[in-house]
Amino acid sequence: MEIPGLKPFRTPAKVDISKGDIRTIVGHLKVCDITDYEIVASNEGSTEVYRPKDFNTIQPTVVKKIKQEKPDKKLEKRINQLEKMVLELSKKPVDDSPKNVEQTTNQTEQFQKQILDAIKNLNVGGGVNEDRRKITEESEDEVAPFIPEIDIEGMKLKNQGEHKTVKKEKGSDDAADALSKLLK
Amino acid sequence: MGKEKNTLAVGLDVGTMNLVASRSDSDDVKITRNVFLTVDKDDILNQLSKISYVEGPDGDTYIIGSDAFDFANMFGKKVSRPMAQGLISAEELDAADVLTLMIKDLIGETGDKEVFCSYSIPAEAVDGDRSVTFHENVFARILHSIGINHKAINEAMAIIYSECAAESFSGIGISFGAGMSNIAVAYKGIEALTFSTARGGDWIDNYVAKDLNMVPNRVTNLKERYMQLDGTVNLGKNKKKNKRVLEALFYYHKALIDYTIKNIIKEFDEKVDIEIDDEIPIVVSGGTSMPKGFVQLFSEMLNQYELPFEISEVRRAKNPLTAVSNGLLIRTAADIKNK
Repeated sequence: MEIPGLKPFRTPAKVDISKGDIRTIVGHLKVCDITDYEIVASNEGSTEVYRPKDFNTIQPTVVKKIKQEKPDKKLEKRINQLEKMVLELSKKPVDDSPKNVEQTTNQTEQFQKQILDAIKNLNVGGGVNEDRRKITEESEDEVAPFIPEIDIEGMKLKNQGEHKTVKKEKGSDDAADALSKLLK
Repeated sequence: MGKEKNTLAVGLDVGTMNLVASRSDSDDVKITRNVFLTVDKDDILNQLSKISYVEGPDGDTYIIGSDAFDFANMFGKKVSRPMAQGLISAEELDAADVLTLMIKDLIGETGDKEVFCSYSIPAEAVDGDRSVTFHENVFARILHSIGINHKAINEAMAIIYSECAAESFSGIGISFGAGMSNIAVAYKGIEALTFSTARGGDWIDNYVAKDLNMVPNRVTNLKERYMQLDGTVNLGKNKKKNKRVLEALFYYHKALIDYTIKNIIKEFDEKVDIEIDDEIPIVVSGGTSMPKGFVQLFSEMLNQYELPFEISEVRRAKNPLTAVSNGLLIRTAADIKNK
């Protein structure tokens, strides 16, 4: 198996990925459709194990990007179609008879409604290009750490220790003994 | 408890409404509300000496724990809750630092001891769309940041560790919490089934508040002061209005219990392969099960269904508020012994 940034290896294998880029590695495994793996993270005595499903939560960002590109194309296509229809309508010979004026007004109103509906349904605030730029900016903003960093430096806790307390249940030691035997 | 003198076992119940911590070296279990209130320091200057609060690097002030709840009720404000429906709230992610200090304060001084902590996590909800993974990892990071070895344990399993030692840790543990209800079926200490539903005390309060056009905080307050499910009525001062609230609360408690029992039967039928020949107890716990008469109501409603297992009894945890924390402490100590 070859993963970018790692030496090729034969599966099943335990591989040290601490020097690789975790996003690239997980992404590559996904592309290769490999779902049977675990990533073990150890740090100062604590160990955490991550499985493929743990990385599913980062997918919506990717999905969102793909999904949000579609409305642009769809919108452009619909506007082009409407433009064509309006042009064809304008090329038609002008007939000033009252019946035809009424008909044309109705058609124009329908076009106007369709354009407004298209814009409303596709949730577009500005022009097509402006909206695409907005989506790109949003996607870049989303590249934040999955788990928030904890930074309590500079924060002070005042008057601590005023908690409601109740007495602990007796028999916890015996229960722990019994449970440790069952879990062995 | 604790294999070596230099180790400390901790059980930390991370609940939507309360944070509860038990330590192997103390007979006291500490409880605080899992809420905070962002305030302008000038507004509370004369109260500062009496309350617990956090001061941020930019001068931000957060009243934490039970005091936040009291001040919010006083000012008619809504408290910030780091958790919603049993999981870390996406709206309050910036509060992770405040939450870290609250947990550090609750666990207390640990000196030079090596600390091992089991913390509670819910099971995946059968009716929710959020994963537990993120929640689990946020709390792992919080505990790691304050130098504590940690392990995530299902909160309903913790009830079985706390309450079913006499039955060799076989039983059904149900934690009716504020954010969700957690259920675990265990046989001789082995987890056979765990799941949760996204309905708990908050679900009751929110629906009663909507139905009666009230603020949920106010419903919670009335529930905790006057709610009884055993037929006796304590209406307090505002009798007419309170009667409507208590009646609505009664119907929503019944709806919650009924929903939970139906899901236990469904999940057991679909997912449990083992045959449980022995009669097993059901242990009910959690803050939402606190009203007088809750267990009796649960038993009555359970009798209306045919269950896929034999029940020896339905009982309440010795202390529904601290059972999860106690069970987590037992599990941590057992793990230390097996190291």
